[in-house]
Amino acid sequence: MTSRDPIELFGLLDPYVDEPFTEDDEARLLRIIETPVVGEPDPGHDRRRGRPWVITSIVGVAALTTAAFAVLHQQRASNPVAIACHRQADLQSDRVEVAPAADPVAACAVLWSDGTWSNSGPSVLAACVTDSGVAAVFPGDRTVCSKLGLAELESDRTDEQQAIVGLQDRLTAAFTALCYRQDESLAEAQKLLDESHLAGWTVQLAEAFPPGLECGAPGVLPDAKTVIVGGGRPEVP
Amino acid sequence: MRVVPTGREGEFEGVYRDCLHEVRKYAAAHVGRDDVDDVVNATFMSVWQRFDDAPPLSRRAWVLGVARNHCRNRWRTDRRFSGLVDEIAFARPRLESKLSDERVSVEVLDNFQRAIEAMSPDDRELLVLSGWLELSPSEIAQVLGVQAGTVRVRLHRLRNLLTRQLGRLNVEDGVA
Repeated sequence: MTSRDPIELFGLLDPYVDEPFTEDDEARLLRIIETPVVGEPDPGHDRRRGRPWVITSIVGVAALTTAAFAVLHQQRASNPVAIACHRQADLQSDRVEVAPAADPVAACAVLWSDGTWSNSGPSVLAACVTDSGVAAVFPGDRTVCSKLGLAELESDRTDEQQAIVGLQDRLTAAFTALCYRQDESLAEAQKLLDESHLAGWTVQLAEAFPPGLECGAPGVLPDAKTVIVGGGRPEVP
Repeated sequence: MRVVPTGREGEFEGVYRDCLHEVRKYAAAHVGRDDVDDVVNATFMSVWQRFDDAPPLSRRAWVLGVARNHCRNRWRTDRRFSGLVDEIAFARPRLESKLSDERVSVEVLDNFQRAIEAMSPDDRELLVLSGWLELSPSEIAQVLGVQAGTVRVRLHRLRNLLTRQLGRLNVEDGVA
C-alpha cells in the first residue's frame, strides 16, 4: 500500500481524459447560444413588500446561521429570511418578497387573488430553492424548478429537523433582540439548546470575540450537533 | 472560419469550454454515463439562461451546482453516485496503466472499489468533487450550499475513513 493522501490517490483513478471538443460539443454550444434568453430583467418592476426591516435587521445574525443551515437542508431553503414570489417561470421576472411561512406556495398564492397580479385566484405554483438558498415560488408545475436549473423545495421535516429549525429560529430571535457578550452568549445559547431537547448537542465558542464585535452571533451545525457562537456585530449604543 | 463571439456569448463560451469536461465527469459519477448528455444539455441551457445571475464566486462551482440540481431533480436518490463504481470498472485497463506509471500498486483499484461500495452517496460526491474535479473546499462549499468549514471537517473525516478502510482491506487481503 502507499502512504499517499487517499483523496489525492483517488484522483489518479479519474477515468476521464480531457479530450478535444467534438463536433457535437461545438454544435451544442451554437444551439445554446442561439436560444433566446427569456425574461430579460426589467429593473423598474423589482418590487418588495412584506417586512423588509426584518431582512435588514437580522442579516448580521443570519450570516452564521444560514450557511450552516444548508447542511441540513440541501434541497430546502437555507436562507430563511424571505420567500421570493415570481410572476413568471423566470428568475428575472417581477417578484415580490414576502415574510417566511411554513407553506411558501400558499404565501405566494395570495398575490394571485388579492389583485397584486390577478383577482382570479392562483395559478398552479411550484416552490424551488435558488442558488443562494432562498425559497422561490414560480407559476407552473414541479418541472419548472428543473427547467430553471433549481432544486425543488422540500418541506417535510423529521421531528429532529423541526427541533433544529425551531432552535435556529429562537437563537436568531434572541441574538437579534439583545447584545450578549461572550460569556452571556454561551449561557444564552446553552439555555435555548436545553429547551430544544436535542440529544447529544453542545455549545462551543468559535473564537474569542474580537474587539468591535462584542455581541454574539450563533450558528447551527447539524452535522457536528453543535451550536457555535462567535462575535457577530458591534454593540450599538 | 468562425467569428469569435464577444460580450455575453463570448463569456458563456469560455465557461462552456472550461467546464464541459467537469460537468461530464460529475454527471457520469452521479447518474451514470448513459445520461451524461441529458445532464450536460440541461445544465448549460440553464447556465445560458441565467448567465447574468451568476454569483461573483467560482464560475465552475456555480455550473457544477446547476448540474447537481439537475441530477437530483431528475434522478432522485436511488441514482445518487451509484455510477461511480461502474465508471472505475469500465476504465480499468487504462487506470491500471496509469497507476503503473505512477508506481502505485494496482491493488489500490480493487481496494478503492470496495471502499466506495461501502461509502455513503454524500461521501462519494465529496470524493469526486475533491479527487477528480480538484475543487477547493470553498468551491465544494459553493456546489453543496454549505460552509467551507463544514467541507473541511467532512474532508478530514473522509480522509480518515479512507485511510482506515484501505488499510483494513489490505490487512484482510494479506497485502503488506
